[in-house]
Amino acid sequence: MSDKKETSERPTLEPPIQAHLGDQLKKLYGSILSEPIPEKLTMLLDQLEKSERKEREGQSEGGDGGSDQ
Amino acid sequence: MTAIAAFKSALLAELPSLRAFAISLSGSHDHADDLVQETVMKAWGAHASFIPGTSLRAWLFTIMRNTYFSQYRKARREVQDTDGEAAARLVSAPAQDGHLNLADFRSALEKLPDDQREALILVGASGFSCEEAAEICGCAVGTIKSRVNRARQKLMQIMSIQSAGEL
Repeated sequence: MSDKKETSERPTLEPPIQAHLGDQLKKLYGSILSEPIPEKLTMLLDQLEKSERKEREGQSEGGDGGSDQ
Repeated sequence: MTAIAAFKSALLAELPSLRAFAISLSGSHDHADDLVQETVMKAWGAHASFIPGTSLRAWLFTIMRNTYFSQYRKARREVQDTDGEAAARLVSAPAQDGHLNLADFRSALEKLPDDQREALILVGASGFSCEEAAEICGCAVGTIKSRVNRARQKLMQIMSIQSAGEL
């Protein structure tokens, strides 16, 4: 009765295949990780930093310009 | 280094991971960069709510996936027919090792439900534990585990259909 045929749809994965999947996933992810970061993203951080510095300088005494670099 | 500069350079260091997660989630480079941009801006604005000593990456991923699921998922659905193009652009040099190359894998990954793909990427590629992934997704650890399992099974089904001709 429960004598089902073992088809490819059975829910357990064979370990080598699972390892292969894991490999592919890491490879795919790694290939994205090693792509150069688009300039617009690094420029965004520069901008955020700049505007926050300005804001803070506006709030504090104002003459504190010596900490650049 | 000032606190601002330190936070900036910490964010800078996380940009590759953020992009990788964004591309995996959204399936397109264009959407992904918008998503990263928005995540960075939100993170910058919410700087004060980050608890030093905890994982910056997990914090950023939480912001990103909330942004994605509240805004970008709809857009992605609308342009789903361009996913193939995005996949083609992503894998510029097809890997020829094994019977399934990266492009095949990539398109199989695209076919997973969002929550399963996300769980699989967090645990299987980003290096988070199931516990951390559960925290990022705001769900139970068991939920993450079962999503990862279902994702693996589904990938296998999709890929065995794709590769049937080669076997």
